Amino acid sequence: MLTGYTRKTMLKQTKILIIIGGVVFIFALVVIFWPEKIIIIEKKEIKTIPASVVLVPTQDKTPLVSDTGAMKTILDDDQYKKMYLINVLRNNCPVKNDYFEIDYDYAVDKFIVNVPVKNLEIFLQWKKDTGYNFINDNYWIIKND
Amino acid sequence: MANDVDIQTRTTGILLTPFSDKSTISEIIEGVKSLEAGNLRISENPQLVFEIRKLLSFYDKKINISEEKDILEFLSNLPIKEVSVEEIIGEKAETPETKLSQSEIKALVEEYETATLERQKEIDNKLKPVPDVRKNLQDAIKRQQEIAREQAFLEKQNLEKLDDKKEIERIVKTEKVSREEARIILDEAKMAESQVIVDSFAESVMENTKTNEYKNIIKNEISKVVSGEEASLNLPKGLDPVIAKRIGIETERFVNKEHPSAAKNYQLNKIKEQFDIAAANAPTEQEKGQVREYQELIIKFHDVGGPKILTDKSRKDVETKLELQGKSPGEINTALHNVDTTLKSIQHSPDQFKKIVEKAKSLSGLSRKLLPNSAMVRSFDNLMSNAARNPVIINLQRMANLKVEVLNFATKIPGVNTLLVGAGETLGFAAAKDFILLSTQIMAEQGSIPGAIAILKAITTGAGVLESGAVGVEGISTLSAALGAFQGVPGLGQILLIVTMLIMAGIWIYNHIIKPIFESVNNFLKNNFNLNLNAVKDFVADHLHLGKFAGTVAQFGFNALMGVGAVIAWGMAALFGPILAVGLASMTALITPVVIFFAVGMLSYNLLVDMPKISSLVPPPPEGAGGTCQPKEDEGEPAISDGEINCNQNAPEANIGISKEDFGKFADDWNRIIGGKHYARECFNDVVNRAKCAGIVPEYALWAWLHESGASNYSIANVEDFGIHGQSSAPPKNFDKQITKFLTLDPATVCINDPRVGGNYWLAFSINYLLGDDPADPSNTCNPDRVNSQGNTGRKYEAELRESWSRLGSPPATIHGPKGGQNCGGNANNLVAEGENEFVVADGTVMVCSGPVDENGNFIGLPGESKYDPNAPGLVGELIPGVSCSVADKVVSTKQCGQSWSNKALPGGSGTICSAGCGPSSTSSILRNINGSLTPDTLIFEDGSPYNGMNGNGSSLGQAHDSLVKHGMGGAVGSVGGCSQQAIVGWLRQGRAVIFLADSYTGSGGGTIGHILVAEGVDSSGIIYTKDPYYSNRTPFVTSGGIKAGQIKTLRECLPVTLGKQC
Repeated sequence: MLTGYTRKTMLKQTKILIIIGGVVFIFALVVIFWPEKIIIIEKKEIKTIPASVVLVPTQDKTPLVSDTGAMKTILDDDQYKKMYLINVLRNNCPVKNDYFEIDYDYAVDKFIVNVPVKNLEIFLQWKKDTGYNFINDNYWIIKND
Repeated sequence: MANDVDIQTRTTGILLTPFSDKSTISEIIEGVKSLEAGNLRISENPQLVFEIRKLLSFYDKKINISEEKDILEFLSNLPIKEVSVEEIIGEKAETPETKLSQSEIKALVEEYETATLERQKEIDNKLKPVPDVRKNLQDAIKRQQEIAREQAFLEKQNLEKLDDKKEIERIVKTEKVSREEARIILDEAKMAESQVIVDSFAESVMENTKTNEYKNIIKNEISKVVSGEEASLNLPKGLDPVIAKRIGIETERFVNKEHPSAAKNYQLNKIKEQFDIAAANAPTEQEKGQVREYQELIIKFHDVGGPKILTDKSRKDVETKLELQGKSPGEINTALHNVDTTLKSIQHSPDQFKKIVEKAKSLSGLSRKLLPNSAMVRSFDNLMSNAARNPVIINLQRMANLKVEVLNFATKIPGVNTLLVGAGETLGFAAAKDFILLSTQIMAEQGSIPGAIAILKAITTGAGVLESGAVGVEGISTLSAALGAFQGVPGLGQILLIVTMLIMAGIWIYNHIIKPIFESVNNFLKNNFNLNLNAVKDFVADHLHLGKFAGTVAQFGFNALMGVGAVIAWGMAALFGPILAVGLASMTALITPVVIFFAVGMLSYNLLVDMPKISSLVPPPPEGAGGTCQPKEDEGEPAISDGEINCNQNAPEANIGISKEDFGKFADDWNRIIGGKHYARECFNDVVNRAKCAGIVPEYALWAWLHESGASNYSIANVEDFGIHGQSSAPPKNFDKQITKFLTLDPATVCINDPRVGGNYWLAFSINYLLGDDPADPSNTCNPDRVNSQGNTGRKYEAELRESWSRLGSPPATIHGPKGGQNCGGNANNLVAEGENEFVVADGTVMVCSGPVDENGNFIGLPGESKYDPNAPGLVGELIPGVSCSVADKVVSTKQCGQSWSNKALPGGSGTICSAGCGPSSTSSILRNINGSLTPDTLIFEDGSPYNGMNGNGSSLGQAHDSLVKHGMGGAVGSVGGCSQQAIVGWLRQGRAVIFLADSYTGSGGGTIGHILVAEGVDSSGIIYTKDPYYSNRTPFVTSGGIKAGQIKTLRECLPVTLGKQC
């Protein structure tokens, strides 16, 4: 048999639990029904332009036939790949599209890229897609004008 | 004719005389032109068409009557215009249906002789309409038959068919002379007889053709063709074309078929005659004797078999083709003689050739002015002088001779002649006609010595630059490379290699390799090609005159050598397997074994038999740096005779703002009133080169020369070439002394600081140049208005100077310019101490050379020695006339061959700078602008050189990059990488030179080799200009006018180097 003291204590505990539960319930409701626009982070879509990877053939190391003393320069593979890509892109210059323009400056031996800031990521994505990102950064001059 | 209906007038209103066989060519041409003017077709005038068709048929031309432009061209090119159609053709007008062409008539006439009676009747009917033509042809055929009969008789009688050996023995016995003297007597008799034969031939030709007109001209023309002076007869236009044609055919037959031997002797006789005159004109007995010695030498040189370039029937075609390619007749003639001389050289054994070269060298002190001035003599002299100093030529001659011997040897064996596709008609596996065309082209494009080297290489390898051979370039070049690698072993090493192999392999090799190989190969060749390798016995017996016994022994030895050859081939295949495999794959299956076996066999033969007589198969070790020498005219030399110019007419080709020809025209105009002979063209290069050597602006030297003496116009009494007056060391009419003194003077220095001159350099110059000092009043010396006895003043003279300079551009700031020039007596850059570059030849002549030499004239200096001088001034590059966007002034033409460094052996062996130095030469061309001593040899042999392991395979752009960085150009040089023509233009426009690796064409045949050269300028239309270390400096990319040696087919790699500013 419960004493009056016990009964009072239990009621008091029940009340506390009910209050806590209610608070939790309300919090849960708030969380559940909070407006979506506030809590969802908008996904950014990076626009891409059609581009395919530039294939780099294996370096041809067979000796030349020469009567005057000419030999090929045998580069290490990375250097060869880089110089090959530079030559291909240089021969395709100027490159123009809706997002950026690339030209080659023979005075400094660098690619000059005119790209608005908003299109910078598009340009970087294009470099990645084509494989031109293999060309060192010091071969690129980016202009945002 | 009056009774003919004038169709044209009636139908078109254009009045034309009716055409008939009485119409002259001129009238027919006028008719065609009139129709054309009236927009009418020839076909609208049937009479005209009829007459034109007759002419077309007569001249065997197949031109459609509707091709009016071609018709007009054909008519315009007919040699005689004022004769009628009837007179030309000698027939009455016939209907076109009965018309026979000239060749058809000839065929019928020839057939008539052997035809049946029935057939003869048919032929008679066919030829009835053309009795005159038939008669002419019958006469011609009859005469040809008579000539043939006479010839057969003569050949039995004359010296041409005598057995030389027996005849020499007979002369020895009867004349009691030595064999050598008997040989000379016989040769002279043959030469004299050839004169008679040719004269008789010329007489008989005129008799046969009943030609009474132009007798002397015809005889002279025949003489020119037989002697190889001209390709074809240049007969008078008034001569009947049928007769002219007959004379041409008979002459061609005489030279090439009936009397080739007499033709050759006739050519030798012509040389003899020229030298007889030269000897008679020589001033001293000693010189007469030397001319005679030279005569004997050149006759000996040309008295060999081999292809007859000058009288070959294809020569005319070759000339025509080269003329179409823009070559002048003079260039073509020189090139043909150079080819002829080069090919004659390979008919001599290496031993003989070396003796001839040495003999010619011993006569180098003889003034070339005493020799006959003919292309044949010049080309011989040029080859000899270069062979004496260029081991590459000696070695290539040896290899080419080996090839010829192999062919000659091979043709002695039954069946091989067929196998080699008629060796007699081929040369270096190329058809004779193609060979002559291509080799002449190479000579004309590359010059005599590079041309000779290219041709010898082509013969040695069987393809190389000439491409027309049956063998692919890569294949045979690779074979050559493999053989070349074997040659890279020192001579003694080669002997030891062979001997050791013979001894050690001994019986084992014979039993296990040689015997089976030889038998199987012999059986294979015998069964398939009726080829018997045992014929070696005959070859050795005949070739070495050692008899059958020795031949049998040699056969055994040869069998062994063949086996050893196989072993060597296998060894080489192992060493150079992949390369050789490529080479062999591209050779035909039939030729490969034969060439390999014979080449290796003969190589061994040459090593073991010929080696004791000649030092080595490999190039002789370079005698120091190599270079060139020429007589030095010192104080003790006899004075030159009046009117004789003593400039160096072989000075390097000048490349300045004004061309030689433009300056020559300038001098023509200058001397127009005075008249007389000037030497503007002959001495232009010498003036420019000497001025550059002295650091004087060449245009100034040219101006002074022209202004003072009309460019040495010696018709002016006591003219002073460069205006040096009253100096005993520089007398009048002495170009050499005058320019030597002139180039040491700067007249402006006396007055330049005088306030009356106001700092005007050319006024200061003019005052002193015109008036000199004023001894009476020294303070008046620099007075611009001081008057001389002719009333002229310094001020007036300056005005005159500026005006007379107009065609040379405008006067420079001062007369001083950067030092440059070539062969500046070895002292262009003060690299050689005084006297170190001189030596005295046997006759006392002092020779001055382009580098230090010992007392015998051998160039001294070890191959590895570097002559780097940190204080040497930079040189100025040769400009490209008319091209402003260039860095040409910063790229110094640096050739890998023909220079003092060219013969230096490379540190890695098996090659010289000449044979494999395009990379360092290109690099040097850029660095010499900074320091003149950075020559290719310096770059190769200096401490820490990127080229220090370089061998005959050459070098790369990577090494060029490192060499440029080593010399402080790290900030200017870019990276090695792929490139395009567009990229090169881009770099050039930014003031950058581009060293590049490309596939260069070796000739018009389309073959290529890898090569490194330098792009230095681009003109407004995008044409790129280069400095090429091997080929001539020219536009490198094929634009128009066909492929030429040195032009670029494909770009492989580029290395840009910043040298100037954007343009």
